Amino acid sequence: MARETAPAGTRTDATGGTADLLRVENLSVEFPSPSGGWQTTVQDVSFSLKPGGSMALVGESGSGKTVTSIAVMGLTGATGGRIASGRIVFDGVDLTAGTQKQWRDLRGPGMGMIFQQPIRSLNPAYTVGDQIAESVRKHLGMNRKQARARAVEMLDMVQIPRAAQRIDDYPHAFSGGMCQRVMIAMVMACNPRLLIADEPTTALDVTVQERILELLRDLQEQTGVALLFVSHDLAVVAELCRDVVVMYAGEVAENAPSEQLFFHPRHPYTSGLIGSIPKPGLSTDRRLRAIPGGIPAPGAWPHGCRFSSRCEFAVPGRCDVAHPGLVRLDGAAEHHARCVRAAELSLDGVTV
Amino acid sequence: MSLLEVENLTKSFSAGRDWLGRRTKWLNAVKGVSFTLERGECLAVVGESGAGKSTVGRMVLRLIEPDSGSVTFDGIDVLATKPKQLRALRQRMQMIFQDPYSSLDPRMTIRDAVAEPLLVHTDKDRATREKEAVELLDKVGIGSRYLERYPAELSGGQLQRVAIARALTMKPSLIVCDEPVAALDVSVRAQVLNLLRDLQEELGLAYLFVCHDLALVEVIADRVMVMAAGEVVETDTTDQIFANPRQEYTKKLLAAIPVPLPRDAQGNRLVAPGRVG
Repeated sequence: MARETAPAGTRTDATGGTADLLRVENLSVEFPSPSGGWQTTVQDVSFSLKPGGSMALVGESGSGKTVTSIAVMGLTGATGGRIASGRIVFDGVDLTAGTQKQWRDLRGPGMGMIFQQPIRSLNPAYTVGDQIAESVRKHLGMNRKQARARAVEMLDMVQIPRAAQRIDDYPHAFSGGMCQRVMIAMVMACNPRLLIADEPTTALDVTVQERILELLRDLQEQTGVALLFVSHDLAVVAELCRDVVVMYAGEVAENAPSEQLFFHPRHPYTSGLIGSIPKPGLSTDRRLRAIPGGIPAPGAWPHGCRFSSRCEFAVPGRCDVAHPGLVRLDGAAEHHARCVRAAELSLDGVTV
Repeated sequence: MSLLEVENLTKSFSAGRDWLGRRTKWLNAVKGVSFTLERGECLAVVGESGAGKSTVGRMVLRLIEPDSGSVTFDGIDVLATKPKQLRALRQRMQMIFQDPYSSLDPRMTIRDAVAEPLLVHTDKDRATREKEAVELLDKVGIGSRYLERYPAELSGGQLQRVAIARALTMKPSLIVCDEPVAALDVSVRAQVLNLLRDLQEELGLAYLFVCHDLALVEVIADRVMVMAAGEVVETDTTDQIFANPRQEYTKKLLAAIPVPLPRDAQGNRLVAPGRVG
């Protein structure tokens, strides 16, 4: 199952390093607004992911993280929106310039996605074996017998006990955590090169969450699949991802390798998110640091910094006048923050 | 006398029926659970899905009828109370649910939703009811510009604040909170937990706080009751549960709390700078 050699089509860039598997360039996504016209919900988002890499898209509900991941899957149209501008380049091919069919052919062998509520992602009327077999028969052209064998192999791989028997069970016979394993098996059965996981553990118990995160880590090691992990919870992200993109109000607020971002955040929003993670045994005054207020809705984005109204460091006259750009920070190769005060603030990171 | 005394509470649900509709299989959801809750205290009930923690919360309010056991609230036998008296009793014991989107009437404005309990339980006139509702909404941090809005126009965190205000209208002494922040974002979760804590101090409320996430419990609970498969595993003060858990199961739950420390290329946790070890 392990991918020993680099998969066909992996290219190297001019410097000899591995080329990006996924590159999102200046992506903007719009949805029809109730008052007519189109409303931008994701604006000018860029990031890239190497083969076998792991990156997190982090933000609150309404930050645009799911809209971004849906766009990477090429499903924006199916959710009623449209890609207004920007490019999504997968393995060197600009998908936004291609046809829907090209994208469709990639879903499965190229990229796969798992969602927050596994029980709702599975069809209750078919056995889990049939559902896994369906995807490999369609995408890999296997016959019935091969597909069934593959389904057992995959259920085994995601550590479902007695895989050969469980394959004939219906989704209702599986718990939430087991359903998520089935979803992962289904997506991984086609050997995708990119796995998008949208809040895959939010609906699960903490103990089950721990095991699913372990499984995702193992899968990455075994198959070399790249992971785009979408979550609102930085604590979960730390378990899994090497790079983090923090989104706020439809745009990138900060991005950095995990170590930089967790220990030396440069955007007050990131620091606030880190502060609101409960730290067992360490909250002396028994209070959590909260970020006041709520995220502005698309269409109500303020003129200046979109986070300024909730930011304890905001300075009138500087933060609310012009929309700050995403600036590369000194001293850190791949660290960008969208804050005019990034250079002068000393923000709290993880201190556990 | 404790505010709430629960003894030997048991409940089983039918898990299968034959073709005549007779119950054939039984699921023992709660098996002999006992605990007490003092005035102004917060007891957290922690466990995985299926542990029976929500069933316990609901049985205390008699939203689910227990099979056996006793619930004594402020000296009153809740299980023996007649429907009319139970209604009156429930003014003093309220509940907040996990999903604020489905616990509020979508066709009722925020102000009406909060004023409704006063209409049901008191004979205060409309102006008084609305005035009290506005005061409560202000207390939970919902400003006057939301009074005429409908639930669909508010975010999850705001709706949970409205649900809290509504639970407070009858000045209860006990609120059963069933996973009140599980559906909320991490940043908003902190706001709502801090609000619940402030209200507890100000109003002397007792909480029965049902939650699957031990990490959140430390902020709010005085004592913790850990449940598994319908039974109590251990009950202790919050400090003891975190510092010296006695049962393996509690240790397992504590170990599963994700730590916000990134890993290096080999998968080892990195250590925060400026900290030894």
